Amino acid sequence: MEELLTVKKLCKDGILKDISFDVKIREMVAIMGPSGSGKSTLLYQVSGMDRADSGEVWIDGTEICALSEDERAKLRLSRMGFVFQQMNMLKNLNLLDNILLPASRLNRGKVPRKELESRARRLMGKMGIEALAQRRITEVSGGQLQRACICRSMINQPKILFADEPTGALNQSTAQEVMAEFTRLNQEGTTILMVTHDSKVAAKCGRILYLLDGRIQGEFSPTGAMGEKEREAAVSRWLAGMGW
Amino acid sequence: MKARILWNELKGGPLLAVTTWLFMAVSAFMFALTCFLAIGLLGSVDTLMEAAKTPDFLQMHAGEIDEAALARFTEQREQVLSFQTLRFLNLENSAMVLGEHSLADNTQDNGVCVQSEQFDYLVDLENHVIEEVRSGEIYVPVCYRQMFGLSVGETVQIGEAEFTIAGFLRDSQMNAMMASSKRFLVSDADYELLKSAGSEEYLIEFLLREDADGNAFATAYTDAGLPTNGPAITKPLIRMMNALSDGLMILVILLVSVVLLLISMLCIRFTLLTQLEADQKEIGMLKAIGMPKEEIRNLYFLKFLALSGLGAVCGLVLAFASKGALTAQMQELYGPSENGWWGFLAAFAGAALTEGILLLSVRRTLKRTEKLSAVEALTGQPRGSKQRPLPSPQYLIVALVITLGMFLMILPQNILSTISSPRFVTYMGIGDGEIRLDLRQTEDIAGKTEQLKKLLAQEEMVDRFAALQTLSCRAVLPDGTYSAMQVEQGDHTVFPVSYAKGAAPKAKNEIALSYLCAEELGLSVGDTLLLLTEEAPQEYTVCGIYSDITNGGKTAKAAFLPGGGTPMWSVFYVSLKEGVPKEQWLLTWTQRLSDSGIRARAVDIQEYVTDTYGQTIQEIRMAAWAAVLAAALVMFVVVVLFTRLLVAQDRNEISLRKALGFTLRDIKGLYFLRFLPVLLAGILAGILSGNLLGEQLAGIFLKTLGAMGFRFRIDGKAVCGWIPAVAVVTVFCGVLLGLLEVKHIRAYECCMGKE
Repeated sequence: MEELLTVKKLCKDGILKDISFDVKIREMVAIMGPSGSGKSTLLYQVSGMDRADSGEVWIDGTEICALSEDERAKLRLSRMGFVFQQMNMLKNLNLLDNILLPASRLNRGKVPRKELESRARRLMGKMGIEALAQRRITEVSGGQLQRACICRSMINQPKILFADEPTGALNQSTAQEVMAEFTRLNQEGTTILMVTHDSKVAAKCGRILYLLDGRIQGEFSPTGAMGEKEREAAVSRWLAGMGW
Repeated sequence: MKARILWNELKGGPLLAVTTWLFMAVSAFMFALTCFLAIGLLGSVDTLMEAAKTPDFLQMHAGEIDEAALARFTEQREQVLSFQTLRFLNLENSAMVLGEHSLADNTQDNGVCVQSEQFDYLVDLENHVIEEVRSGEIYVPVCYRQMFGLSVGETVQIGEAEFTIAGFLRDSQMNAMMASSKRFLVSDADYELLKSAGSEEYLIEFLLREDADGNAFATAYTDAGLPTNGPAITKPLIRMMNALSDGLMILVILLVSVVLLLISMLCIRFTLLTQLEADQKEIGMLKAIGMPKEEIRNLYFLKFLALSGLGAVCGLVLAFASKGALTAQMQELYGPSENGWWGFLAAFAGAALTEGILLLSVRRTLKRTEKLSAVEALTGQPRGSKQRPLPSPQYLIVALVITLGMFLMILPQNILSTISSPRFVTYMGIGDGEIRLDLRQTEDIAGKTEQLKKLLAQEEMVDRFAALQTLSCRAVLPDGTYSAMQVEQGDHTVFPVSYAKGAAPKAKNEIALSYLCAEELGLSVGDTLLLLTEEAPQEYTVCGIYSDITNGGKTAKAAFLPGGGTPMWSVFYVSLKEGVPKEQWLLTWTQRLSDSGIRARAVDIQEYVTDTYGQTIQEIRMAAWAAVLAAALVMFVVVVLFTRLLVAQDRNEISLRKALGFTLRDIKGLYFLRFLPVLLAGILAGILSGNLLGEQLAGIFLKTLGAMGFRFRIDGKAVCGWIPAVAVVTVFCGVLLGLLEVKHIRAYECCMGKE
């Protein structure tokens, strides 16, 4: 498989130290580690939200560390999707408009709103929230809101989806539902890199990177043949071995 | 999508949107009004001066004139387009009764004349030249219409003669109350009938080519030895006198506009910063998903653009709706302005400029969103930099708004008290006395001056007096040419005018120059000046510079003039002993002078101020009260908003205090305590800036109008009394209203972790 994201010798403010790894197309990778290990900081650097002190980050053949802020913004808009723990959305827009926001910017004047809207509704339909299109963000549950965030992240058909603790603010059953959506997206071909604290969430990923004190301490791939329970147990054992 | 965001944004926060709109509308209103009034005033004055064909140079003269010599002088000069001599019959004010109002107390030189033949016409209220005046009819200066509520058909009594008011007239050169003479128009036959009742003087008038130098012409006129027994005036000075009375009101409105604009900028910046801080996470999210910074900035900017457009339209509509009340006086005195469209255009430009400035400040504030990285915004933590991502200026802004509000209230009050004070005339070239006696248009001025000096010296009720005689001299310019100059000789230290630089002349070789005179001669304090008197050339050192708009503005003051010469007129300044009733003394002395055969006009200077600047004072008073209202309203709105914001921020803390057992009164008390230093600092800074900076600011504007070295007469009662009280009450009420929400915060909210 071809690499979609390649990180080489990345350093940032002493929090990240000489980090190198890669993510292949269609892969779903989890980054785990204790609080303060640098997980979120790593995500901000590889997605171009922040600029690393040194090292290289290649996404889909483009080295983003050398790009200007505006160029990185364009790249995020067209090739990346984001899902945050806090489900950040514009409070003055309804769910549909929030989902359409990145699309209306990227396709300004090129694609009619109707077409974008039907794309958004299809995504919402898949996530089971189509009926909530006109609701304000304060009128839906946390799980529904996080699904809407996933729809927003997918509206521009990104090459890679970054998720920062996407189930951190959800209860267990909602978290499972949301993770099912991530798995489905991955199976449909979306590459995903997510930061998580939850070993059950990580167990659904193809590969887990363990971060400690700003360095990657280990890597684990639960084999595909195992059942869900066995995968979770295997991940827990591995994490225990890493000192989790 | 942008329209959707904008609409939802306005719907979501109507209070902030309305406040922002209000500030934008008020700023646009004030600037549009200032531009409209200024252009309207200049336009009206110019239209009137054009309709009346105002002369370029005018010499008043009491005594005989040699028409042939004047004609010869005119023929030799190419720059003269036309020349004429007009007669003006100076009447005793006590002999004149308009309707039921006697002019006995009036401080103006009132008199009659007939319509001019070639130029300097007296025009009717439509600005048409009054062609025919029938016998028994009279046209009255328009300023008296408003002053005495006169109407056509009423009678005017002049001595024994009775006239019917046929209409009202505008006089392009004597229209302003600051011009000290007023011309009534009668028929030729009536003029001849009245002749014995007054003293006649001449107005020798010239119309010059457009490219002619009025000042050079004035010098040539004096050098030619032509009649000069009276003041000489040029067209620019007439325009200035016309513009000055209403100009002062416009000046106050302009100053208020500038301060209001500053306040608006501060408040809009404040509300925007507050919003940006609240929206930090949203901004971070937009950045994270790849929205370009320009796009994010525009999302906010669009709202302000829409509000400013709405504000400008409302401001303009309000300005056009309210201009009527403020232009009523202007229209009455000067008639309609021909450049009406320019006024509208200027108002548009004023409103556009205001909104432009406000939007520019909004854009600058929005730049902050660019400095904030996506990560900083999302986490709320600054990375790498020590600065907070979006610092909230909060209390500083409230203190600044209180300062500016105080400034806004104090400045017009100070201007008002300065202009109302008898000392204000000292900036206009009039001495600091209680009573002024003028000896003009009479025979043997030198002899009568001596006679009056003796009479005053014997008078027990007089505390002190000074006699000043004005003589015509010529100054030698560096290039060897001459310039005509009216030099006032006498002791100038007794009742001094205000000196912008230096002091009054004391020594034999000292001379003080008026600002206009010093400008023309290019002289400053310490320079020397060669003066040609009747005896011999004499060198003088310039010891002081003062502003003067009397007698043509180009005057000088000296303690001694060699040889004396023949004075053109004399002025006495008198102050009475304490307890002497001024009015009664004036009445007795008018009679006594008349019995002694001295034709002198006695004026109470305080009354002169009221007569001359009465209208201006009234207009400024109106503007000053409007400023107090506007300032109080702005302070109130800002304090209410700020307090509401504080309460919203402190919701959790307030809830906790309630949970711990604090009463509503305790919590409110805490906020009042927090506001106290802000209020005190604002009041103190406002008093200081209003008095010091305000004086500088008003001085700059007044200098352009001819008054130099302007000093505020601070109205202590207002500045340290009721104005701070208004500020305290306003802020108190604002805090009280802003704290209403505290009542609705529940004690258990903090336990639920609700923000």
